Amino acid sequence: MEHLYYLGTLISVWIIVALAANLVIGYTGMMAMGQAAYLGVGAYVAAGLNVLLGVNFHLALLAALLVSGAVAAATLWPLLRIGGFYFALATLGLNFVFFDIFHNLGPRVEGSEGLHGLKLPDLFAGSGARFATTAALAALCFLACRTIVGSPLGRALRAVRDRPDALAALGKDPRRYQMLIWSVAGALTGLAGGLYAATLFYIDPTLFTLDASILVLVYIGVGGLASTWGSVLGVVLLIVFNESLRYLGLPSQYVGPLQQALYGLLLIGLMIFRRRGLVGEYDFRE
Amino acid sequence: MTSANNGLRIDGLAMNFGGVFVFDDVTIDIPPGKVTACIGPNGAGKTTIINIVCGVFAPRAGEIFVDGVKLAGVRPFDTVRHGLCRSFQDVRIFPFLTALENILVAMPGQSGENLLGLFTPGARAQERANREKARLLLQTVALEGAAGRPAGELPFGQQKLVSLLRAVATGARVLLLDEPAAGVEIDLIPRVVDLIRALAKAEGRATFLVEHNIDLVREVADHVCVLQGGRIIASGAAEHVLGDETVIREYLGRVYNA
Repeated sequence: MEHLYYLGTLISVWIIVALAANLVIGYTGMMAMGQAAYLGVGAYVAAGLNVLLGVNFHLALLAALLVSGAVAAATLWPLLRIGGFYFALATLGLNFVFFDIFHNLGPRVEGSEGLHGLKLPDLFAGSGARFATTAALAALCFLACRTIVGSPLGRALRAVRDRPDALAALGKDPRRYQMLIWSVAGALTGLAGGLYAATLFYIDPTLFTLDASILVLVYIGVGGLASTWGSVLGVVLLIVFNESLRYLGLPSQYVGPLQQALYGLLLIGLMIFRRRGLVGEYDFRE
Repeated sequence: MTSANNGLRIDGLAMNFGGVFVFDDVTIDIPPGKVTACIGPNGAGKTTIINIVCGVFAPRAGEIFVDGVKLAGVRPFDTVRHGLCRSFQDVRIFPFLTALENILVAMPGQSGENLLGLFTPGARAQERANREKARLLLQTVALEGAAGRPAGELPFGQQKLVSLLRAVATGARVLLLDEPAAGVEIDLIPRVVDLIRALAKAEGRATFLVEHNIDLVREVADHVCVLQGGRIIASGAAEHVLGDETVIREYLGRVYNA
């Protein structure tokens, strides 16, 4: 049961990350390949405030959300002038920059090479409570994202994705919408980072590398771009799929490589046969 | 410099791309309630005029006035704020948005496009009203049946009509239409004609039309100017310019004999 709670919590965390990534990638067409950076900022802010400064975890979570949103806005600003492929490359760079920051704070700031010993309040204390709270927050994020994508704002985001020059000709600055949604996604990802720290009890810089960013792309690629349900579905299916491999009774040294290989095959198959993912509403073909 | 005139005034525009000369001393008045067409061969710089007015390119010389107020340093997304909106020759529809959404997205001042405004009841009421307006616009070109279809799946001519309505929906007083009839199926042309007429005559918008389809120009244009070889070779009332011998020899004749 403990393990199921843990899995449910982990799934909820990644659902928030995937929802946020889908806002920018699937709905707005911004190829975000560095979401792990904002996840890391959120995790370090929440855990750092809580462990090192004794800040109440609820407040620390709120801080994680706000700081990550601000960091996302600040990091997007210089990237807005570049487009398409080069934008994607630049966001890829965010992974390395932020990993290095987390890593190199190590000798100077207590706890940055690894933080543990979170003091969690009741809502997060037991594994059951932690699951319930995290799942409730994920549900809240889900509703918020659905409200956004179903609103005039969501419509404008899709217009930015489809033809930014045409939207500009209609009197609306595409960059305003890009900035807004990137910050919102960064904030949500930061919140997920704080929750991730609570789920794992321990964080270190290796959790927030390119691997994590790629994983997010896989989740929404499988579930489907421009779909809130797709974000949920991709995370649930892949994490459950990954876990189920453990119960096949294979020798443990084979499980890891097998997971990787099957993940890879799944992705290749999907890109060949179903580029929209399971329930996606958009693909980059055109 | 110029007296306050209504509509759009393009005054002494000159342009070159690097060392490539495009045109010199282009002056066109585009008054409200009238359709002013610009014709001329490919590469004469007709679309370039629109691009300059909308802030895509900076001219070498010349000035642009909207209702007597000089436009300076506009960026493309500023134009609507100044009362101008352009359409594109190659449509540039939002393919994954429905026809209705294509029009809705163009409407100005939507509180539902702000993160905080989005959750207010006012935003919902405004959205309902906007949807109704967009539906009425589609009705004017008999496309209400396509409202819910992704615009990318519509036939080209219908996409073009939707893209014109999109420009209309911005509420701009001056419309710059770049070849609205090009590539449009022949049976849809009358709807383009009716729409352009209605915009100018019924709604009093200043309409600038760049067009190769001379039949369409004959039907809708009040004033015509001919851009050729880097200058305006004729300008004036439509029937006068289209009957002008030089124009027929230099441009129209060539088209019909081709």
